[in-house]
Amino acid sequence: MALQPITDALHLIHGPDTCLGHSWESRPTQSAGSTLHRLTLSTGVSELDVVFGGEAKLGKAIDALIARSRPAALFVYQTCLPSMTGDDLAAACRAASLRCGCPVVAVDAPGIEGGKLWGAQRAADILVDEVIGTREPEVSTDRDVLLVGDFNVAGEADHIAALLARIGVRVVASIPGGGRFADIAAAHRARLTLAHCSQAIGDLAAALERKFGVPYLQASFYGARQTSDTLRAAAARLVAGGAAPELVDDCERFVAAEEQRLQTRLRPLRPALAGKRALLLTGGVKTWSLATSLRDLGLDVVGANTAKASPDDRRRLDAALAGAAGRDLQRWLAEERIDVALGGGGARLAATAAGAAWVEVNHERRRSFTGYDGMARLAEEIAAALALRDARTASVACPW
Amino acid sequence: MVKPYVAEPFKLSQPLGAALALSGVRGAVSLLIGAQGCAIVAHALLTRHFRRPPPIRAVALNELSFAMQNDEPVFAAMAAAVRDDRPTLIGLVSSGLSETRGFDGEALVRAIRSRGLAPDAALLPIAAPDFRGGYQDGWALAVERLLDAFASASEPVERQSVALLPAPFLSPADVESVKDLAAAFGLNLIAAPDLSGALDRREPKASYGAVDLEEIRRLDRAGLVVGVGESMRRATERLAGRRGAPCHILRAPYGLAGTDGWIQLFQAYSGRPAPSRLRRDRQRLIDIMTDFGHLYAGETAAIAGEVDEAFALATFLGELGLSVGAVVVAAKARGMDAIPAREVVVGDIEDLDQRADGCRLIVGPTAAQTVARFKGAALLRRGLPITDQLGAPYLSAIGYCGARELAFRVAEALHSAERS
Repeated sequence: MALQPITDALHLIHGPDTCLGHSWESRPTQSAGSTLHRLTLSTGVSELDVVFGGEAKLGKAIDALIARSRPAALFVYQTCLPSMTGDDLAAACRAASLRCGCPVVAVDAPGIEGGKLWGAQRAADILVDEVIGTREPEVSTDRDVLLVGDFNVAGEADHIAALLARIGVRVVASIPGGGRFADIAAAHRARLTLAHCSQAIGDLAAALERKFGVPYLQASFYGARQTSDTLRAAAARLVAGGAAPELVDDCERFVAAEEQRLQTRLRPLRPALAGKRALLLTGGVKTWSLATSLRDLGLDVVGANTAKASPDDRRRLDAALAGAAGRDLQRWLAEERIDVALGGGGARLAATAAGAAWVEVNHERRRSFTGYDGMARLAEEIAAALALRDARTASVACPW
Repeated sequence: MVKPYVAEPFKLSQPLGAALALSGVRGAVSLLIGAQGCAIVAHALLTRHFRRPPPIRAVALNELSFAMQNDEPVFAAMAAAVRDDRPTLIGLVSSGLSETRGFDGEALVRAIRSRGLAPDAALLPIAAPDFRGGYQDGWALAVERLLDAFASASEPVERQSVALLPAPFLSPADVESVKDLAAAFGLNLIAAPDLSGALDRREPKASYGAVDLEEIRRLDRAGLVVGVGESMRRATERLAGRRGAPCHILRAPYGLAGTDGWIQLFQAYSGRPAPSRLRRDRQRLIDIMTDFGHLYAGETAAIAGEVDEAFALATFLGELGLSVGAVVVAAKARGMDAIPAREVVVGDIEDLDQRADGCRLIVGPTAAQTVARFKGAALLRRGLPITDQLGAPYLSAIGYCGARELAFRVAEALHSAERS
């Protein structure tokens, strides 16, 4: 899942069809160009392959797919079944790479060996060891940055790149969301890494610093305050690394203008949001930055679910919420009067059943919540969800 | 030549079908015995189709428990299910992973019993490897196991009682419509499984089920057993065979002829005449098929679905006057060769794409949307899952009224393809 957003590569699952996770549309990671990555492929491991081994079948599938689509690269993912029956994925991919003249990368991280975070870490290791640094960029400037950890859901990586372009900073590659294989292979020449999501692809940013000396900073584009802080920090680091010092002034001018524009847009929404009690059920990722944004919008953040958060996320969250972070969803809904809950799919039913308004902020979301415009959209969605809830409550009573 | 890979499969797995079938029993929970991902996938997919979380839990085998033949993860998941959901029935559904290790359901049940876990719940092991068959097979298998294990109350046969064993392509609303139709003849129809609980907003943790385990126990007293879909033949014949009750398999439950079939069956069995309202609805359907026949005639449709579903839909479209070109089925199954279409193949969405040239109508789940878009054709959403349109579980195509509505949807779809 951590690599699939690389857009001009094919992603082949070596396992039964089921392992694809019936994934059409469920991870709507966008691309400005190639959409090869959206093709869901499997080797369709069947009963016979379990008995006789599936390596030969895998080799044939790789050959046919490279001939079919001429991808920039092909990633092959190991799954539980063939890992148990002993198919040698690495050997099959090495052989296919030489045979086809196209990078074929083995990703040996079957579900049975570990969870999602572990798999993301494997993905990061594979990129650092086998992909990044295998190619030199055609153009290189001292304002080149690398975006790490964004999935380009709702086109967010594209929005972030556009935002950075406004202050003259160029995103040379995004890993993984919206990324192109050749750009990623040359990513070691970037001057700075912006680590957007702390765990989406392991500690890739830190590994890049260790191996290639590319410094990194924790970046967040969720919320106006974080966006401004991130832009300022990025400008300062690039200038410290040799970029022309005007960058800092350009950045300040842009930030001031954007914040002004945002406040104008938020003004009519503020009364509807003031003092409303919010619950964050985002499963950890980006929870702390959302919590800060909601505070800035005048909401009262009553609690947040940290079940899937990394220890680092949790520390930031505890700092942001002064101890209001915890775990038990049912208890909150029963005991606290929650006006609005923000989260992903699964918790929606429980939240709406308890009479809370619902705003979708996980990977099923269709609108981007990044940057200044994203903050305004978030405020608009919360206000709309609250209005809808109030209308629904009023119409429950039958008039006749 | 069979291509050496699978692109954009729409096949759903046997374990998913088995777990979905058990979801149709009130108070049931399924434990999917595989890696954590197996259950998460099934759970997410069904939640997106039914807009309610299904009663499915992950067991999350890991490398150690797999290698050591250790059932501790199953016991832990079971304890959590009992604590949170208080189930009356727990399905132990194997996956390709647990099958490769060797799945001994009876031994697992004994181990659970000897530990005193889940003393109040019935246990039902189902071996459903995902490297074989599709979800209609897993569903049929689960229904057979369910009836074999429980339907043995041996009470006197009750003439007014009819058992319906639906294939999973019938929507919850379809099943409710069949119940209503049977009620019009004074018959009490009980469906197993019955997913129509998914249409009611209940507790977040309630199952989709609208039939009790107690009702399933007494299902063998039904005087008539009706199965929908070829895949349900074995379960239907086995249930009916216990008490020598008559049984029927309806493979094409939709449309004019399909509804005539239901009514003739219920009328003959109950000895009651059909209500006059049905005659009027029938005439209306015929009028519509006649008046708008020109919209359908000469159009070609392509279908992606499992075998039973494809058979029912191809028959219905043929009755409207469309010709069915290619049918791509997710998995091989009995009755595949009988589908009334020019060509029937086992395959994926890429295969559908290669065979859908010249089609103005694509019929299939949301996965087929890309093909419809590329071909400039319309998509009639049928099957599982439908994630880009609300309300699929609420849509009934049963009866003359249901057929009329489905005919309108086909016409609308053709019309929209024409405009774009």
